[in-house]
Amino acid sequence: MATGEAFSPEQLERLDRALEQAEKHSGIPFTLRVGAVRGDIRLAAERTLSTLVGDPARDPAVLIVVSPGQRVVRISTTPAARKRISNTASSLASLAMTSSFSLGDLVGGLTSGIRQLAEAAGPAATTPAALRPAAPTAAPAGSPAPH
Amino acid sequence: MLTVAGLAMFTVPVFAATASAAEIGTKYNPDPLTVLQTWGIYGGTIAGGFLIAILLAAWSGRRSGPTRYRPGQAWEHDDVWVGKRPEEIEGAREEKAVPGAGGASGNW
Repeated sequence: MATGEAFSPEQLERLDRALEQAEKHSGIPFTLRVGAVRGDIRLAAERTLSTLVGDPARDPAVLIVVSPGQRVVRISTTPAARKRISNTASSLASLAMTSSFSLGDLVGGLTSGIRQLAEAAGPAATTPAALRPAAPTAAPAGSPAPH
Repeated sequence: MLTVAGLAMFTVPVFAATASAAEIGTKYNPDPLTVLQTWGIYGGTIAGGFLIAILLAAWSGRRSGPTRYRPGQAWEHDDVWVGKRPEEIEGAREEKAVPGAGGASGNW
């Protein structure tokens, strides 16, 4: 591994602030991981996502995994978060991110993508889905990821 | 700004030395400059300014700190987490598949 941090303190602060605002706006905890991923990024992201919440089936959470070396990004949402952030909304956020990434703007792409996801989720505890207690899901394993 | 400062650092002593020379002729009939003096003032000043600017740029580049990730290059850094890391959450949780999870992927 190279010496030094991948991002400057200012860049980290921008990312931290974007996640904080997204969480404040939507009430959904967001986590970002940037680094190399071994194997299938979708499976790796879902497995990591399961460790971020107490009950992955009921608690909302969003994990964004970016592997700059492999040039791939994965947005994973728990079933509860998926009710508020549809796969289509995730796809649009992913597209916004990759558009910026391809221009070399990693931090800008992440902040705009995070903002899009928070806006797609809507304000915290005001949407009907957020106010309803989460029911056990009967959805099949895996997610129909558009990509 | 640094270039101007560098030029000033170089030219002020040269002009001062020239002005303080004992024999510079009169106000109406100044002594002609030698070829060496002419090249020193008009060529050396410019070349010296560039040299100082290059040195200053190289020096500030070396002081710019650790290597950051540059888009397009291979990722050779440790993982960066923003938000809560799994290790920071109380109680060890087993990694498992999440039925009904959603999301999307993309590449560039």
